[in-house]
Amino acid sequence: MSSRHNEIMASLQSADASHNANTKELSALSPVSRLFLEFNSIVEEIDEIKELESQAEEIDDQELLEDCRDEIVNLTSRLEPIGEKMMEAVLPKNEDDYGADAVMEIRAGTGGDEACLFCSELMDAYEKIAKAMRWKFEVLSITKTDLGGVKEAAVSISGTSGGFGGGIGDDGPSLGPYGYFKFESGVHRVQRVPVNDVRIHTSAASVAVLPAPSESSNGNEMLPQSELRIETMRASGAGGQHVNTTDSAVRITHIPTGITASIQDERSQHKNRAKAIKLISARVRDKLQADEAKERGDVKNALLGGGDRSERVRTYNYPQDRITDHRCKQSDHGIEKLLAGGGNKDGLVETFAPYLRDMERKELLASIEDQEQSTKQRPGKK
Amino acid sequence: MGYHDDHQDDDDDDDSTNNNSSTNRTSKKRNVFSILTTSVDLLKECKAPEPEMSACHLFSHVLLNLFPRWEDNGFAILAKILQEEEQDTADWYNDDDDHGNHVGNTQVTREQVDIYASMLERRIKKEPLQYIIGQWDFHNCVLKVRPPCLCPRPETEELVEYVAKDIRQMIELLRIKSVGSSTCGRKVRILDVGCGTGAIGIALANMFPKDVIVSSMDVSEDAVALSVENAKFVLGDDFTLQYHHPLLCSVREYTRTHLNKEEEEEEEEEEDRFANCLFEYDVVVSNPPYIPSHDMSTLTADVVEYEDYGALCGGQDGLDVVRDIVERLPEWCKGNHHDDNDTKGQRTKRPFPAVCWMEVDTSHPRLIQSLLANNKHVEYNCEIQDLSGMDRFVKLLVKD
Repeated sequence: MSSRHNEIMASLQSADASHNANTKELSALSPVSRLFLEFNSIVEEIDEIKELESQAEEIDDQELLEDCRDEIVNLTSRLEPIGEKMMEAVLPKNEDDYGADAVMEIRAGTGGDEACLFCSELMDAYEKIAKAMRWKFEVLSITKTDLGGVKEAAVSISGTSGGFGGGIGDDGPSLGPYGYFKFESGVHRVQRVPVNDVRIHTSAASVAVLPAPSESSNGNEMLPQSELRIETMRASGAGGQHVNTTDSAVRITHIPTGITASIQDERSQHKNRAKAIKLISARVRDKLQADEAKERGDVKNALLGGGDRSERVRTYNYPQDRITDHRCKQSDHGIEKLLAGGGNKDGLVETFAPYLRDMERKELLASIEDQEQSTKQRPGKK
Repeated sequence: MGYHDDHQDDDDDDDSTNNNSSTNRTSKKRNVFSILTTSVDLLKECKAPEPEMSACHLFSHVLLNLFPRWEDNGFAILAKILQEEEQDTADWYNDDDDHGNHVGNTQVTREQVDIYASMLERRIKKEPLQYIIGQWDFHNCVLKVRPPCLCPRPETEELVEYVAKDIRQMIELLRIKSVGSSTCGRKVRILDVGCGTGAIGIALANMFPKDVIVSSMDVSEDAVALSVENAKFVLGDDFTLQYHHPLLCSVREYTRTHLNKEEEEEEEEEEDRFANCLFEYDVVVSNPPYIPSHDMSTLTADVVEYEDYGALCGGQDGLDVVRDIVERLPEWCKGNHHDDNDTKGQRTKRPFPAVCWMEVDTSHPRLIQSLLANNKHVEYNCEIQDLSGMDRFVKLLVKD
C-alpha cells in the first residue's frame, strides 16, 4: 500500500504543478490536494521525529527514545485513514453511479403466490425509498396476480440525486437512482408462514437494477434508430385514417442483441413507445456492460461490475424477524420496520449499503493493484 | 339479449360491494371476472370489433369509481385477468382492497352492470370505443372525443413528434436571433388545418407552453366547438394565450386575396373576418381528409358509419384538401414578421424557412412530389414512414 501511496504522491505532485488545467479537473483534485498536503505534513513530522529518535539512540536517552517511538506510532496511525481517503478520492468513479437513472426489474421466482406477494412488498418498499429521495417512480409494465402480488414489473426511477453521498467524505457529488439502488440486484429469498398455511415457505424474488440514461442526458446515450425494430398492432392494411383500432401495444426489438421490450398498458401508442424505449435502452445497455465486465474478468468480484444477478444476495427470515445480506455478511432485525423505512438510515437500502459500498471500493482497489502487477511483470508492454 | 336474463336471475340483493358474500354462488356471478368473461363471449358472438380489448376498455371505465387508482390503465389490468384465467384455475381469495387486488372477485352493482350493458350494445353496433367512453389518450394528453369528429389515430401522434422536432429548432433559432436585440424572441406560430378534436394543435401547445401560439381551423362547427373544449380541458382556462379560438372556415376561404371581386358585400365580410390574422405562420400542420373516394367503400363499419365522411374522404385521389393547402401556403407563411413584442411594428425576417407537415394517404407522397415539381413557392422536402412502415408523412418547405 505504501508504494501505491508514493505513486499517488508523485502523480499528485505533477498534478499540483499543473494548476492551470481546466477547472473541472481542478475541483476534482482539490479535496485530494488538501489530503495530500495533510499527508505530506505528517510524513515530514515523522521524519523529524525519526531524526530525533536516532539522536536519542546515540545519547542513549531511554525516555526520549520511548516518547519518539510512541509519537511515530501515533503519527503513522493517522496516516492510514488519510491514505484511504486519498485512495477513495482518486479511484476511478463509475459515472453511472452519479448520473444515471435506474430501470428496476422485479420478478417473482420460486414460491408461486407467496413469491408474488413478496415481490409486491419489495416494490412498495423501493417506491417509498424513491419517493423519500424525491425521485420519480414510474411503473413501465406490471403483471399482478389476483391476490395482489406482483409476478413481474419494470419500473423507472428517475430524477436528480437526492443528497445521499456515497463516499467516505461527503464532499463529492451525490448518488443518482442507479448508484443508490444498484446493490439491490440479485435474488432476495424470503422465509415465512403464508396466510393460508402453518408451515414455513421459502420463496424468492429477483431484482435487477439497470442504469438508464437520464432525461437530461444528450441523445448520444440513446440507442440508434437503425438498431431498433418497432412493431405496432397496425401491421397490415392501409392504416392511418382507414382504421380505428385502439390496440396501441408497442414491441421494440434491439436487432444486434435480440433483446426485446413490449409495453401495452397505456391507451396512447406514443406513451407505450416512450416506455418501451426506456425499458429497452436500459436492458441493452445493461447487457453490453455485463459483456464488457465479463471480458475484463470482473466476474470473480461479488459487487464490481454488477455482480451475479442470479446469486442470492439477501435472506428475509420472518420467524426470526431478521434480514441478512450475504455479501457483506451483515444482519439487521425488524423486517417490517426496514421495509417501511424509506430512504433514511433505517431503511432497506441504507442499512446495508455502507458496507456494500465499502466492499466495492476494496474490490476496485484490488483490481487496480492486480492490473498494476501484471503491467509491471511485463515491462515495455503498455 | 341473452345476457340480460342471466343477470335478472340474481337475487334482489343489496347493491353494495360487500365482498363477504363470496360463498354465495349467486352473487359470485356478478363479480368482475364473471361479467368480464361473459361480456367477451357476447361481443365475440355478436361479431363486435376487437372483443377482448373492447370489453377491457369499457368495463374498466365503468369500474373507475371502484378502482380510482386505475386511472386510464385499468384496461390493462382486466386484460391480464382475462389472460390469467385462461391458464389458471387457482382458487380465489376473498379480501377487499383498493389496490386493484382481488379485482376478479369484486362485486359489481346492478347499476354498473346496466351501464356496461348499454355500452356493450353500442359496441356491438360497431361504434368506436372512443365515442362510447367519450375521451381517449392522444400523445401526452387526454382529449374529449365526440361524434362526428374523427377519433385521433396513433399515426397522428407520430406526426406531432416530427413537427415538434422542427419546432424545437425554430425556438432555438429565434432565441439566438433575439440576443442583443431590444425584444425577446417571439413565439413560433402554428396553423393546424382541419383541427377536428384539436388534437395536433393542442398536443403541440401542451409540449411548448411558452414558445408557441396555435391557430386552427375546421369546416365543421362540431370540430370548432370540440377543439375549444379540449383546449380548455388540456391547457386550462387561460388557453387562449397559447391556442386561439379556431376559425370556422375552409382552406380556400382562409385568404385575403379576393377571388370574387364582383360581389363587394361578400368581400367586405371576408375582409373583416381575417383582418386580425397574421398570415405569418412558421409551421402549417394538417391531418386533412385524405382517403381516396374509391377506398371509402373498403372501410370497416366502425369508421365509415360513425366518423365524419368529410373528415375522411379527400376526393377522387384523396388530395383535394392537400391541393388547397399547397395553394394557400405562400400566402399563409409570409417571411417578414411582426415581432410580438415590438410595438413599432417593425418586421424581422424569419431565420428559417416555413414548413408544412401533413399526414397523408400512402399513395400521396409521390403524387405530391410531382404536384410541386414546377411550384416556385413550395418545395417538396421529404416523406417519412409511420411505425408500420407505410409512407405517411410529407414535409414541405415554403420558399420566401
